[in-house]
Amino acid sequence: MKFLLKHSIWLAPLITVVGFVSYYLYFARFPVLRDTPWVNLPMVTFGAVLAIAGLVRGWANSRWVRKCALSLGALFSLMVAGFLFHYVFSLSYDLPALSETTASLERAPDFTLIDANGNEVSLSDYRGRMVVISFYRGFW
Amino acid sequence: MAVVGVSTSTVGELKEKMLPMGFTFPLLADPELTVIDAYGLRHVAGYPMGGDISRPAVIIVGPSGMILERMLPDNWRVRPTPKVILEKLDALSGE
Repeated sequence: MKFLLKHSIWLAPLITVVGFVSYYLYFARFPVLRDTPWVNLPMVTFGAVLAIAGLVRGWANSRWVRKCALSLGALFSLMVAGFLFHYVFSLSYDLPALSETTASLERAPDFTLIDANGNEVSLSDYRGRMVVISFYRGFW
Repeated sequence: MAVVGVSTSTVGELKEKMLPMGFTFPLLADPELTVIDAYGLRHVAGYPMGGDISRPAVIIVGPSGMILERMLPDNWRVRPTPKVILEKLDALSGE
């Protein structure tokens, strides 16, 4: 812990960034860790707390350059951690209300679309079978 | 049982980005949102860079063409897992 505090000037922002980036690059692949980021939220929180603790601890006996660096690091860590919380608890709820059309449909409207290989696919091709239609936001 | 995916991606985008990921079911291109609108799933300005996309939804259609199940998550980060969908399918076909 002492080591962490002593080097918080660069460790804290690093931990926060790794906690943030690894959610998108790795942990979001696992449904349990994606739905509630059990790894990433604690990690960015730890990074931000460490940054502030380091700032408080190092303030009194630091030169102004170090004071600036500690402050910027703490601000940066707080912003990165804050964004992940915002993304998880607010941004990803940005969806329209259930539409009248979706709620009232009884029979599935038939359609014909082109698939990734250029073939025509119709819903009615699957008559007699259960069909799972997965509407997704897209890949980008 | 069959699975199809629908999004606003064009055939070219699907071919370039989705095919290499190894999907074995058809991924359908609905860039004009005709089918997405027919199902009432348009998310106005839902694309982070601007533009309309589909909201995430899983619709289960029965053998006769009736809609048996609509799964509409209220959070686009948290979507029904394959396990949940398979359990629902089992329950529906058992009826």
